[in-house]
Amino acid sequence: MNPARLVQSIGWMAFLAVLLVGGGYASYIAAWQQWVLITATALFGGLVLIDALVNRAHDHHDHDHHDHDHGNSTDQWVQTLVHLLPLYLFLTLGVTTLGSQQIVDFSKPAPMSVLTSRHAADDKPVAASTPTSKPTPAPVNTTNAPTPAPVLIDGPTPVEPTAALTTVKDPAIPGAVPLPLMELYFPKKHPGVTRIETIGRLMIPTQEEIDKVPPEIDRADLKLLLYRYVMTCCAADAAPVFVVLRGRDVGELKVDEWVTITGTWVPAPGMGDMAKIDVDSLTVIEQPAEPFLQTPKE
Amino acid sequence: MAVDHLPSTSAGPGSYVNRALFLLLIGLTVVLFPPLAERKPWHDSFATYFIAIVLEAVPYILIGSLLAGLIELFMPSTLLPKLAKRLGLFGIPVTALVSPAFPACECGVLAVARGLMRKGLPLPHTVTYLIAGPIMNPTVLFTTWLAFQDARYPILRAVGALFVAITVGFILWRMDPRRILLPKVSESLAKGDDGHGHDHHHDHDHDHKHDDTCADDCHDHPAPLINLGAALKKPGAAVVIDVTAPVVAAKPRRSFRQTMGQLSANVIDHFLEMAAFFLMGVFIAAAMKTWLGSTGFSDVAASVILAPLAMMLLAFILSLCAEADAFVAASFSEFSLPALLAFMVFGPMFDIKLLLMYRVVFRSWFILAIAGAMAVLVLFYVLALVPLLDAGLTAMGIGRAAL
Repeated sequence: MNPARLVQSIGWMAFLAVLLVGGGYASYIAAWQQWVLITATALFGGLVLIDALVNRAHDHHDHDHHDHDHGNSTDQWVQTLVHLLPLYLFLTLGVTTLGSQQIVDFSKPAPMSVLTSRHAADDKPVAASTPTSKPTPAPVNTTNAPTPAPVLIDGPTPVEPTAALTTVKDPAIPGAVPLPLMELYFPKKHPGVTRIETIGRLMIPTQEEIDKVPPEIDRADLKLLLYRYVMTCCAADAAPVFVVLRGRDVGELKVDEWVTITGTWVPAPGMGDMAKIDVDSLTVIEQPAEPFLQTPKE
Repeated sequence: MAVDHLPSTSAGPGSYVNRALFLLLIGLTVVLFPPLAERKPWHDSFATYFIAIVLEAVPYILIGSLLAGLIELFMPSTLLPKLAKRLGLFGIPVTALVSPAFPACECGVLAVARGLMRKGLPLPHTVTYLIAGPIMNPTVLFTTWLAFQDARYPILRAVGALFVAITVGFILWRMDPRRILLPKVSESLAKGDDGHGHDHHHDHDHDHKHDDTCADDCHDHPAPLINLGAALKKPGAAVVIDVTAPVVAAKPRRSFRQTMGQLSANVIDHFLEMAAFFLMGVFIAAAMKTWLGSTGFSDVAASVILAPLAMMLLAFILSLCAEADAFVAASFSEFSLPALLAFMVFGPMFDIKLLLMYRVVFRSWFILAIAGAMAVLVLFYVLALVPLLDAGLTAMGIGRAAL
C-alpha cells in the first residue's frame, strides 16, 4: 500500500475507532444505524489489514517502472489531508450536539412526522379529555414513595440526571414519572400520569422572536420552553420537540442549558397544540450521554 | 502478486480544479475551526451535521464499494454486455426495474455503478441504475411508507424514480460515452485494462510469468476485457460486441490469497477515491444546513410551481440519506403531495454530496446537464403525472395505511 493510501486508511480507522470506543457515535446516529457503523468499521479494518498483509510483499507501487498514475504525489497528499478532516474536526471540537441556534420555529410542538411516528400510531395526539375505550387505571406512580430511579420508557436517552454542575435546584417532587419529552404528546400511552419528570434544553425566546409568532398562538406561553431534538437516522435529520414551561420565571436560567423538569403535565388539547408542564422543580444538569431522542424504526 | 488499482481522478485535465477545491476545503476547515479557538454555537451545529452525515453514510459507501469489488472480481465479464445487447433499448427499463437487485442508497450507488460499468454495462444503463437505484431500494420505499403511513407515497416515489431514470437512459442512448465520462475513466475502459490505467504489458523487465501457471508472484492480468470496451460503445450504434468471440487468453486462476488481496485493494480504492469527494459535499451540505436550514421555504408552500422547485432545492441543499428523507419531508406538512414527492424523488438523484461524488466519473458539463434534465423531469412528473396517478390510486382505495 502506498504511503498516502495507508495514511488515508489509518485516518479513517482512527476517526471511526475514536468515536466507537469513546461512545461519541451515539450522539450522531440512531440506534439502528449504530450496528451498521460498527460492522462497517470492522469490515474496513479487516480489508485494510488484508491489503497491508497480502499486497505488502509485491506492492504495486514498489516498483517504479510503471507508467500508470494514481494521481501525482501532490494530489495524493492533498487528498490525504481531506480524508483526515473528520478526525481533525472531532479532535478539535469533541462530541457536539444541536442547540437553539438551529431552531427556526418554536411556536409548533414538533414536526408532524414526529407526532405521527410509527410507535405512536395508535396514540395520535388528542385532546386530553378525549375518553378512551379502556378504563383508566390508577396513576402508577403518584404515591409519596421515594422517587424511583428514573428510567425512560422509550428511546435510548438516559434519564438519570447527571447531578454535577447544578446551578439551580428546587426541592424534588416525589412520585413523578420519568418520560422522554416526546412522550408528552402521547397521553393515551400514559393513562393517569400527571406528575412527570423529563429532560431537555431550555429555549428562552427574545421578545423580538416572540413578536414574530402568528397572533393566533398564545404568545404568553412562549417565554420559557423545553426542547429536545428527535432524530430518525442521524443528527442531520433531527427536529426539535417543544413543551411549554409554566410557573417558572426565566431568572438566571440560560438558553440551551440542560435541565431536568418535574411538574404537572398538561397534555396538548389538540393536534398542533403545545403540551405544557406546570413546573415544580427545575434542575440544571450536564448534557446527557445521548442528547437526541429517537423515533423508533419498525 | 500485484493488484490492479483504480485509475485516479486526480490526474488529467480536471485535476487542477479538484486540487484547488480540495485545498480550499482544507483551508476553510483550518480557518473556521482553528485548534483551541473559542467555541461558538455554529461550531457545534456544523460539526454535528458534518459528523452525523459522515457516520451515517460511510457504512453505505463502504458496502457499495464492497459490492463493486465483488462484481469486478466475480461477475462473468461477458454477462452484462451480452444481456445489454440482447435486450437492446428494452434494457433501459429492465435495468431500472431490476435495480433493487443491487440495493444501495445514494452514497453507495456510485461505487456499484462503477463496478457494473467496468464489467461492461453500457453507460445509459449505468446512469439509469444510478438514478433509479437509491429510490428503488426496498428499505427506502419502506421508510417512505413508515413516514407517511400512506401507500401512495412509496408507490408514487418509485414510479417517479422509474420515470426519470428510464427517460434519462433513453436520452443517453445515442450519446458518445467518451463525451460524458472523464477522459481518465474512458481511457481505462477503452484500454480494457480493468482500470489499471497503464499499459503494463511487457514494458517492464522484471521476471514474471504471464501464463496460467503463475502463482503468487505473478501479476493479475485480467481476462480479455471486451466488456470494458463495451461500456464505451454507443448502445444505439451498431454494437460490435461479439460475445461468442473466442477468449484471447485464459484468465489466470487466482489463489484465495490473491483474490482477497485484489478484493481488498479494489474496495479500499473505491472507498478512498469517493470518500474525498463525498467529504467535500458533506462540508458544503453541513454549511448550508447550519446557515440556511429550511428558512423561508415554507413561504412558497402554496405555489403550485414554486413549491416543488423549492423542495427540490431544499433536497439538494440538505443532502439527506434516502432512508431518512421521507421523515423530513413528512415534517413539511404545509406542502402538497407533488411538492413532497419532488423532494423525495429529486434528493436521492442529485444533492450537494452527489454533485461532488459524480466528479469521480463524469465530466462537469454532463453533471450540470443531467441535473437540469432530472429537475425538469421531476417537475413534469409531479405536476403532470402525479395528479393523474394519485387520482387512480385513490380510486383503487390505496391511501393512508393501505399497505
